[in-house]
Amino acid sequence: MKENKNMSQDVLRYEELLELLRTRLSVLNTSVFLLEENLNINDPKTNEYLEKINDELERIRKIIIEIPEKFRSN
Amino acid sequence: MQSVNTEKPAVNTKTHPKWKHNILVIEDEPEVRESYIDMFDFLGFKVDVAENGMAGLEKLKKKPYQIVFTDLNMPVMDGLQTLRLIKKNYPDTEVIVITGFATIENAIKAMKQGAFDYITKPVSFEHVRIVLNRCIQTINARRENQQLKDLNDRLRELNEIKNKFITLTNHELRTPLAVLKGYFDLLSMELKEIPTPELINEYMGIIQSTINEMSEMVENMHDLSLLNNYTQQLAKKKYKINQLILNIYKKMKSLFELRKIDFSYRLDPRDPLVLIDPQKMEKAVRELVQNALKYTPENGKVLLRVKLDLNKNLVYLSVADNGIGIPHDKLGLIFEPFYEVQNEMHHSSSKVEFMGGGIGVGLSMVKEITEAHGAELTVESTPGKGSIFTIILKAVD
Repeated sequence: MKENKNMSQDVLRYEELLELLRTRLSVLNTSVFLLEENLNINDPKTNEYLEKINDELERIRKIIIEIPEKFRSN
Repeated sequence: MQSVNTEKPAVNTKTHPKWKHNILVIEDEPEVRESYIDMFDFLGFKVDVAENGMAGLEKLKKKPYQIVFTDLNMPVMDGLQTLRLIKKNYPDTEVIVITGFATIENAIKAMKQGAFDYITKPVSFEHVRIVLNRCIQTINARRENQQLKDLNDRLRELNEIKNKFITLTNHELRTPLAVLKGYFDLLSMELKEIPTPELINEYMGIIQSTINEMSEMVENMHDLSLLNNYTQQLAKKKYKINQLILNIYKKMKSLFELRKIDFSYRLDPRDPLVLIDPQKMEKAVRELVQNALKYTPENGKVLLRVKLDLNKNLVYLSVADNGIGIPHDKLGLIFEPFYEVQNEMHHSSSKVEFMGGGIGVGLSMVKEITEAHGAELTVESTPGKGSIFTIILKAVD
């Protein structure tokens, strides 16, 4: 019974953690997008860095969103 | 048929009104079948009927029945054989046999073969109501058990997913976050070279703090995965609590120096013994000290103290600060996972900075460790003046 209670709390915490990570990722995505929109410059270095930042954001998105879904469907 | 109360006898189906209980009555005599339909209708149930065991089994193939009432003496297929086939093919279906006194032995035989109960002829409404009530309660209890089992299985599955996710992401998330941070730093440097409007700086600030928050969450993931370990088996031993305080003081004093906070301790000269898992208890007290560090501004004070009350045979281990304190309406929430006092007020990136972030599992961990020791955790706080967290342990000889 106690083990179930702990497990249940633990799972709840995990779900909350995922929610927190997704929220922060969403803030990050929005801010990077707005930053790009407002920068409006043709500096190749800046563009390169922004492109890399977007690549990494995509990787993080996959880890946070796709991996838990994959576990679930398995 | 005997007289009955005019008051409609209620059958208890309250447990789960949404659960249907399909009832099948197998009886060869048409008039008797009709009387059963009327009787069950009176009791509040619509029933299906079949004229013999064979016809009854055909009906069971087409529709699930939770309860079957069957006569024992019937042509084509008698009640006992019907019972055997039903229990073989539909083990969850409860069978109640109806028998005349002359065949009571058969009724007992039927019970041995898995019948739920038997009803003797002439059938009494009250008897049917009682038996049906009990049968429905049994079925509901079985369904509830199954639901609990399903929930439990689901919980285990989710726990497994959680463990896999945390194991994987704790490692995997660090890399892209580090790369992200690296390119963001490069981008910041690049942008410093060119004049940028205020809005850009605002977005840059948000990105910087969000990356820091996410990094902090990942850093704290292992705490989350370890949370349930605190309630598992403790390696308890007799331990001098003064020593635990000294260990923590030595490990953490440099952090206080960095923040220019006066960090001190006061030990009990009687050097009391307590029965604890020293590692886990140290982790709990360190969390309290870290918490005090986080919520105490520069030039503040944090005191770590041990006090033995000989009359009560209790040891009080307290961490007192003169920091921001906790609003009274939030005191009940601080031990909840993911709760951080400053959430609504402030965001910062480091565990040791003033009002620095974290994912808010620290105090819930302290509570779990304390409870696992059978000890008590109390908190007194005055907003703007500070807080005192106390772990109360039993002293041992």
